[in-house]
Amino acid sequence: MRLQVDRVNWSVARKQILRDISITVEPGSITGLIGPNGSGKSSLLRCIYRALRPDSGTITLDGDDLRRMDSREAARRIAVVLQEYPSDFQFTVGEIVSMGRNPHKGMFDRDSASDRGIIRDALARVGLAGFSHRNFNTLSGGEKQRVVIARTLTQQASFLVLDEPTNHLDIRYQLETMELVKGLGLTTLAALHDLNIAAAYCDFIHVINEGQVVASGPPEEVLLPGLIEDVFGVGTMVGADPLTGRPRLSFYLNGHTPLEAATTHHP
Amino acid sequence: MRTLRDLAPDQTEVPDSPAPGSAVEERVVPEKPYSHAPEPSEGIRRVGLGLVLAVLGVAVVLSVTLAVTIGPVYISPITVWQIIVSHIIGASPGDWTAGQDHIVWLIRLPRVLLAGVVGAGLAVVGVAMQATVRNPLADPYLLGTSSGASVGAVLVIMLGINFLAPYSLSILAFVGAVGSFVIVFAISQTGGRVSPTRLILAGVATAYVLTAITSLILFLGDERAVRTVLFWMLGTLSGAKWSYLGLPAAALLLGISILVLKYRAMNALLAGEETAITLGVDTQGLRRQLLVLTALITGVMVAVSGAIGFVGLMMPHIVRLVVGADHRIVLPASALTGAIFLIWVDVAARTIVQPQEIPVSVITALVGAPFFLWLLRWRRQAYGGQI
Repeated sequence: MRLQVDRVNWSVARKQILRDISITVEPGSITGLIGPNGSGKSSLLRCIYRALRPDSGTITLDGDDLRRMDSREAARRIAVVLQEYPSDFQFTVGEIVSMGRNPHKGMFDRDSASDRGIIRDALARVGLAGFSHRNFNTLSGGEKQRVVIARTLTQQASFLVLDEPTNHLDIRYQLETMELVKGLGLTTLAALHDLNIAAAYCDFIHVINEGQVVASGPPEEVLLPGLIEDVFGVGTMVGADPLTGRPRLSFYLNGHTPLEAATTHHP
Repeated sequence: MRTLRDLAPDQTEVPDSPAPGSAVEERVVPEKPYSHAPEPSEGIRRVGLGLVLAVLGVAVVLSVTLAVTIGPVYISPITVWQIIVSHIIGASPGDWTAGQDHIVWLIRLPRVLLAGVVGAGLAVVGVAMQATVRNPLADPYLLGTSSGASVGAVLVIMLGINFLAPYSLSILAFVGAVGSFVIVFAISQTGGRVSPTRLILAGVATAYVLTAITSLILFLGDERAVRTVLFWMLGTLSGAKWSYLGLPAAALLLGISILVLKYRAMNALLAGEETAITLGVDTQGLRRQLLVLTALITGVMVAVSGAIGFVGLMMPHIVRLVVGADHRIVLPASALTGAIFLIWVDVAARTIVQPQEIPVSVITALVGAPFFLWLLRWRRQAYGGQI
């Protein structure tokens, strides 16, 4: 499934947040969206999952205009992992995961044996088999994230959107979450704040700054010191990750010479 | 390609424990991320839908029966049912007095049933409102509904409005309730969207204005009428007749049917505004439907019973403790629980200081608020305690 965002503009209170944004997510790829806070990453994602309506431009999924779909059809094709959790209400894991069946169910449909099977499989796939009756609020951050990913699986969508999926997670959960996402094999668009995670897991990266796409390409072509300096305002040294061979980035604030630090630690 | 995980040593069997004496242990809840075995069940939640509804259904029938037996004159449950059945199938009178027949059929039964219907209606509306604004503290009167109804009722009582009598009070109370909802709804819209926060703020502010208007009319009006007004504003089921039952019962059945059909969407809404959108829910449309439905049901209930507080706030919480948050179960279970609760509250209201009657809201608040506080203490991990 190919996602095509074409010249999308969006503004709020006369402030233009997205300016003529055009990006593509190739079928089967994990595509990263990186950019500083306030750059428009989340707004772009929200346009894609239809929480926002762009002022102009089109967003198509395999050529079908997302705005022309009804909300249930869109939800059968795009599944989204947000940073939003239910907190004040006591849902079980099974209830949260079963919500993913909503777009497949008419008003008079009841949960069938096949729905229950889909829900069970989804939980097993994220390593939470047997968690169905647990109270969602008592889970750890990493487990919650996996429950939400299981919910997206029951939507049976082929396009996955993730909004900063590793935020607030311990390093182990971060890696687990990204490995899980990679293992799903879905066409994936993820807003990521951790550039090293983006470098390690993305096939393709779009860099957004001040509401515009400033660079697009594979990690090793995009994550260059000059660009990161321009966009994030920090100095960068890029090396190769000893485990994966992918780019690994180290950052320093401008005005602090990195070489001093480097020589102190590695004489 | 090899993954980071493949290269890392297998750690799944090694519990990550902080070094002895380190101050790392900041988590209150010990995490067991890799134990995939199901935990012991968490209290009494997750009981089957059928069992819950069957138990509550039996409890409703028992409550209705017992509540009708109780009063200045005791009438045995068997006689009560004989009288009811004889009226339903039109059989000739048996060995009970005409007085007993009158008390059961014309006085107590309609009143008990009205208590049940109003209790169920308010509880269901409470569930719907809490989902609509995604806030566990919402209740049926959040939209200024009860204050609007009070203005209408006070106008009728103080100014002696007589057109459409004897229903002028109910009708104006309903108009006031729905009117205040329209105002709150209009204010809380921005750019075609209704935000829960604006809804709550607009509701609270409108309620203050309408309460002030009620107070002003009371202050300027006839002192003798004040007692009547006060009684109405605190809720009462006295004077219930069969003719009062039809509309509230119809509103309740219609409302609960529509809501149960929307249980998936309501569940998704509780999971979060944007989450619901991504799950294919038209959240704005759903919110509008829920608001109109709740305003109408609340208006109908207030019109026949006055403003009865606490039922709509408490019943959903109590029910969720037992059955969880799934609306498929919460909606019918709340309705039945609300019915049982208000039936017994009304029994207390008419018997504790007979022949006087205590306003219903006095009892719901006296019983309900302490219970609610106890609930908050007992369920510390709920309602934000975990986060």
